[in-house]
Amino acid sequence: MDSKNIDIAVGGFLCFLSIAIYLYAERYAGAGVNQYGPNFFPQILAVMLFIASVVCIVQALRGHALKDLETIDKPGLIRAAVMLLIAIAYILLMQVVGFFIATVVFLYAQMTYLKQKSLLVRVITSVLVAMAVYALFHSFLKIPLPEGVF
Amino acid sequence: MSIMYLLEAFQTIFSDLSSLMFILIGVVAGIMVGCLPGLTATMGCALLIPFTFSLPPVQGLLMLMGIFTGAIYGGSIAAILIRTPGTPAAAATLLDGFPLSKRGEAGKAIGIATIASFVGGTIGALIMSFMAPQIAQFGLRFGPPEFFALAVFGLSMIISISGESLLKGVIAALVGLLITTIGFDPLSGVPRFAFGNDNLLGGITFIPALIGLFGFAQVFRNIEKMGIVPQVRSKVSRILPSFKEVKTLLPTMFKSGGIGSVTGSVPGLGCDIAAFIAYGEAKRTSKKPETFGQGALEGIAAPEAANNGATGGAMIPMLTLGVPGDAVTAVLLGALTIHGFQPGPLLFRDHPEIVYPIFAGMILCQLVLLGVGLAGARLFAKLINIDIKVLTSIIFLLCIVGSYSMRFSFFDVGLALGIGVVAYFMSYAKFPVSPILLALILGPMAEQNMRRAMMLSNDDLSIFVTRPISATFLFLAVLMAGLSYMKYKKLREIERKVAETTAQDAVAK
Repeated sequence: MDSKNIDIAVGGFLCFLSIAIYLYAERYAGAGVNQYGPNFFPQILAVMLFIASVVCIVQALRGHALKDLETIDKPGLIRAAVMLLIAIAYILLMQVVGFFIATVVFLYAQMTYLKQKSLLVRVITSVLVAMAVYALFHSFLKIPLPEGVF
Repeated sequence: MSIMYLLEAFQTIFSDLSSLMFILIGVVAGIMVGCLPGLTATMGCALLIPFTFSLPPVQGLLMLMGIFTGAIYGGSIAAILIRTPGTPAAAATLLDGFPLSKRGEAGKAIGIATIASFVGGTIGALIMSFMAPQIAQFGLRFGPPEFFALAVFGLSMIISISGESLLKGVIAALVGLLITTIGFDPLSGVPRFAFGNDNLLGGITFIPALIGLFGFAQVFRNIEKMGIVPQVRSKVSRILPSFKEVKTLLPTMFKSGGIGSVTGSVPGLGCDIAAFIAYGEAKRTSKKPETFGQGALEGIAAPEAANNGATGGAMIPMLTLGVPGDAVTAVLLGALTIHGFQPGPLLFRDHPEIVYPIFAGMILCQLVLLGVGLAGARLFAKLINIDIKVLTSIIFLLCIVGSYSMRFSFFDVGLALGIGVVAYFMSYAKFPVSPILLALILGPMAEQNMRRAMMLSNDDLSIFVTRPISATFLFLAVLMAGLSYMKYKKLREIERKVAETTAQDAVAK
């Protein structure tokens, strides 16, 4: 997508969003002590956002969109998306097998996916970092980390 | 009076050596974060805030300030060695730093950057220590209308410098402001936009938003760019510059430190702009301006003194008025709030036991920075050679654990990941992220004070323009918006002219 279409798409979405916010905030009307109640701020912001989005669309249509947007690197984007999925899997896994094991697996999986060649580096870093983070958060900062079902 | 408080604060810090240790940890961590490209000072603070939760407030803050100071300095190491600023604030340093490095004088360049950072930072910290109480005194006169006007002014500043598109900065700020309306309305108790989700009743909490905007988004960018940008290796020679060289640079350092502190104290300008202003000023007044860009030592001393001076400066409006000067101070403000202190004029009156150790700590941070920098710069330079694949994996992990550890909530992790994905795509569409962060801080301040002012005036909007201080801030906000719009138009015109002439050239050929 070129910058013009991006601007139009984003502007259109924000227009829609601002209308939705305005209408939704209407239900908070009358809850305050004066006419500037809890609905006032969201609604005025929604109006301003609506205006700004319309200007954004108009400028894009008139060819004023910024020319040189960075192009998204496709393989890079896919790589980032896969890493996100690995992270989500990690969060789910953590609740089953506990923080420590999940973290070792997570680090190892990431580095393998990012093509860190040395097996030794991957194994040692995964275990050491997981131990350090566990020690720091669990023992030093006393943050309750998921223990898993075991 | 304030000097007595300051001395007392030094005594407090020295009486408990663990405070010094936290400063040291902060500075070292900050330099590490700073000299790794792809990790900014904002991200460093965001990632390390969770570590301060369990500390007493003063020590937690000292550590965060150490990170701030260290990161702004650390950026120069990467700028000099591999021509990539480790933090945006070091962008001006590479102009002369990298040519020096090519000549094999990287060590000397880093040494001068270290000394300049120390000089500039100390000036900034001193200015902060003596100016902030006065400004806070003045701020005691502020009522709701003034604070509302101040929040608007702060937002207008950050928008006006937020990159190429003013409009996109405005949109980002508005979205950020709307996010702050999620959760219980503090004035009427009505839950807003929570959609029945208990996790949203308290609003979008600061830490997940912060880690999403500056942590995850950056990790995704790093992962995406990994294939394209090759990693550069670095090496460093002797660090200490000769005394004579330093002596001739001292005036530049002092002046730039002053310029930096003043620039930094204007909300919205921040460290990177301070560095460029000081660089320009040093070049303008130099006897040999033609050497700038080819490895002039002044060209390193000026921006480095200025950006570290700006750290102190940027703390002034944050502490005294609750309006952060840039993204990092916004994070520090968030940290103060998490520890239960609301920055603003009342903080100075009610909690001198917090405020003065902050000042003393900032001064100590500079001393620690000088020592650590001169002794360890070669080690830090080696960090740049760390395999980025390993590093990214670890940062990703820290982002996840960090967003979890605020409320022990996986909802927060998911939220941060979601915000990170949005912020990642925002940067492609050229929407700046910093206005969102500032809006998150200033939004509640703007809304609550606006509505309190309306209660004061019985719904009469003219209260904002009939009170002189509030009218001044609003006027300045409009002025800033106008000025930056004109600047923006001018830039566009130049761009168009350039495009036309190149097109004509193409036709002529």
